[in-house]
Amino acid sequence: MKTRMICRGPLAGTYSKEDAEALGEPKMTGHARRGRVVEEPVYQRDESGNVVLDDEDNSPVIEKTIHRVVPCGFDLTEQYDAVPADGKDHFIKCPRCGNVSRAMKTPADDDGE
Amino acid sequence: MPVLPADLKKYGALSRPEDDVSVSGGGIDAACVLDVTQMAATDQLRAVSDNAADAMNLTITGRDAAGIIVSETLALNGTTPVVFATTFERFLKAVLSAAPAGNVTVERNTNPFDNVVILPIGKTTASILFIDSTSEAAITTRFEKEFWRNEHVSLALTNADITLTADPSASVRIGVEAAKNGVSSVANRKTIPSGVTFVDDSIAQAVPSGNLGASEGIGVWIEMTRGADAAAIKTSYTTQLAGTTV
Repeated sequence: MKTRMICRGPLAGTYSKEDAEALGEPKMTGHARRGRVVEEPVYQRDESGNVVLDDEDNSPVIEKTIHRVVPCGFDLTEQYDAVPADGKDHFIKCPRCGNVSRAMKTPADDDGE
Repeated sequence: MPVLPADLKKYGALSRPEDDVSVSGGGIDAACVLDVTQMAATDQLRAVSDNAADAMNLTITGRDAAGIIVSETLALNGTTPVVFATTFERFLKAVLSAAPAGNVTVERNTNPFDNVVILPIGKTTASILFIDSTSEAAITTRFEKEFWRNEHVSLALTNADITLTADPSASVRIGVEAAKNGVSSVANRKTIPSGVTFVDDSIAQAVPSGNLGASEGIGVWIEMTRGADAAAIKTSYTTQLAGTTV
């Protein structure tokens, strides 16, 4: 049975104390934060909460853009399955986020027992 | 009651070598915890239980300020802290002579008494891995094993995977064993374990079958590499077991 390998994404900084506490995992403070950085628009809204539209082309008016780190989550099982069990380092590029991970598969008939 | 983070426990393997010739790995040693927070500065250590009945001997091993591996044994005094005379530069392991009735905390002897490790009720040993692992003239790679276990009484941790979440010295990779409750070992910690895929901190590696049932454990081989004639490090790594629960 294949072992599932899930991409966590490229390094996107470290967890701040606030980030870690928000996750309920204060020990994650300072740990590597991995994932894809995505841009998300925050639309301007009127007093009733409706999105304000541009007068000229009726497109939503963007108030600001925020950046969020989201897990990549791409299933790299097939790519890892193709790694030869030769005890050497191999590099695998995630098709979704482009992160390059390093893998080493040890021979099954080695003398570890 | 769902599976909670507190139900997921990390333990050592039965064979935890302190040299390069002893066996490494084996089955789970549920009496040995690995949740050590290394000392931030050279200091004395003290130990205290939260149960007044605990009066067994505690032996702490560490490196002194000169870098020498030293040990000291003291009898616990229940809920009154006992202070070890040795000044430790780093903590290596702590061993109780009997299972404690309370949680035994080993902490620095300087206010605010930062915790180094807590030996929970019934657990006799706390240790780091790769004790006395030196760099050499050539690149050196060593392998030791840890275990994650789901201690929920009935529920499985589903969609379970294991990730290396912190590796400040960029010297560690992890490889999940091919079967749960594994007992594989290697002749010594410089021997590569067979049939394991080692990955870095950008990959979450699933537990075999995807689920970690109640009372099931999964072995995780830790590969630690030091460069040729590399400088000494006092660091840590962190693994995480994550999943879903009903």
